[in-house]
Amino acid sequence: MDPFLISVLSNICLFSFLALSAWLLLIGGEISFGQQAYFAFGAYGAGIASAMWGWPFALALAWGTCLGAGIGAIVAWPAARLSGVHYAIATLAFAELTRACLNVFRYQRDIDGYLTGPDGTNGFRDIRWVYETGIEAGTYLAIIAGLLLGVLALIWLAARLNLMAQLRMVGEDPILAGMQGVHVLRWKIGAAAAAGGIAGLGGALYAHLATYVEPAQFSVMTGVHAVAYGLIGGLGTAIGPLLGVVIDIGLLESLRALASYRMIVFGGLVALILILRPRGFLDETLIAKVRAWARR
Amino acid sequence: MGAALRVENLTLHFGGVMALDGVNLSLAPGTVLGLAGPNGSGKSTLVNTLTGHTRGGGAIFLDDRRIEHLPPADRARLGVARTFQTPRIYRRMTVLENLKAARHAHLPLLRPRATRRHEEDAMRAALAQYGLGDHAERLPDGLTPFQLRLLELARAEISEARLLLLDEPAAGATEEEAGKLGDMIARRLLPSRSVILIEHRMDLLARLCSEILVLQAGRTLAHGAARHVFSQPSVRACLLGEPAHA
Repeated sequence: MDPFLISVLSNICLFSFLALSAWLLLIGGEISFGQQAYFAFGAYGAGIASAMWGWPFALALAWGTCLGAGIGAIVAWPAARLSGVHYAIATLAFAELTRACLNVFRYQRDIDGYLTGPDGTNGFRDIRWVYETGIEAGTYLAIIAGLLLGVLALIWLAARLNLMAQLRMVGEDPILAGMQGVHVLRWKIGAAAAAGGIAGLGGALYAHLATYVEPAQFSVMTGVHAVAYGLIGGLGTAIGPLLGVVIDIGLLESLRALASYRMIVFGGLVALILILRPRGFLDETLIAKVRAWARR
Repeated sequence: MGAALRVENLTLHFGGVMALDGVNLSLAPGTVLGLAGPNGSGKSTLVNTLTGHTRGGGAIFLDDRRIEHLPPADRARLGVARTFQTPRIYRRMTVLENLKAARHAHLPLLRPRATRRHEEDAMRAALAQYGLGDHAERLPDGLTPFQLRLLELARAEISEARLLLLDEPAAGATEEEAGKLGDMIARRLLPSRSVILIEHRMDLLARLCSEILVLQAGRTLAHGAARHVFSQPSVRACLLGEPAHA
């Protein structure tokens, strides 16, 4: 496969983790501009585990996922009591706090004669597991895509078990949901943990593909994009945020003619979609129509 | 069978305003209590306190179990359900999904496919009974206010609540619609449930309720059989504005 195509597809898959993470919270009724923080925890955590502690890759990924989920749950404990703009600002503040902490985070060791590990604003180099083990770009893309499919399968399973419906209940009317037996706070914390875990896994995979991560990569704009993917693609189904990523990275960033206008087109698209279809292309209305049509 | 409810000395104040001031009531299983009173008398506040949406002083017993410390979700799981003065419907879920939503938290996650299909068939049958069968797969946007009321009643039926709190189910309805809503409540909701019904229409209260509690400024003004309560001059003065001495 063409290396450029592999690179584009890998990026689409990696940012899909972040988009799904923000989408899950949007379903639960909250806008988070801070999911990039969990992406960063996953990236740094898994990178440290494989490059410095010598952990196997799978265990490093699991560690990055758990780190994202655990910190997501801890942050949600107070944050889930907020809603609307207060929640959005709290998540944004936490993500910026995380980035500021990573700017001064230094934890390095001598590995094979090289000083390896996070070095503040200079970033974290030599996360080399993929290259040391001789895994080719296409194979690594298959790993990323496989794990993304795994996350989608879990979301599908959650929908089959009516868990997604309960999250949607919490998101749309928490008072009614509570009076129908749904523990709203537990659901919000659970959703934040799941979202943190998904972002953490994405970050862990990203760090091993890029081999280098730095705090500047996890800026507010990354978080804004994560939310925008769901808002463009649609909140009616998990395919929605993936569609948003494909439009942004697959179309705008990858087509050379459009690349320099990416942010202009993307910003305009977000504004247009929010006016015309406030819950995205694949919104709940469209999904209900498709399901009704499929039942016939 | 409906649940037994006992409320002792229920008190709630918003700032300096006493919304509920030492309200007592008891409801035998399977009976229907009508809650009447002018606007601001504490009817909805009483219902909100029973569901856990607001917390006040005093004790609430459901089947002899104290529940006043429990959050709304736990009370719902014990069999308390309600409708709202202004219907609360999930606007981004289909009509059928709105019905399913009433059961999600009460059912085990893993159920045989046949059981799930049976549950869905029962819900479709209930929707048909309420005249909403054709709307099952649609979002509720297109429903009239009357149909939204019916959807709330269908949802209350599906919830399998043992204590059902109906907050002005006929508010804003025409006489004809109120009559139909009363028929649906009598036929499909009252049997085998304990019910508290808030309503301003005295004819509906007299028709559906075995006893009436009249609240005024958060206090009990009268409590007893409908005919007895509605004949009291103080109650007629409170509800109808008739001179108390008439």
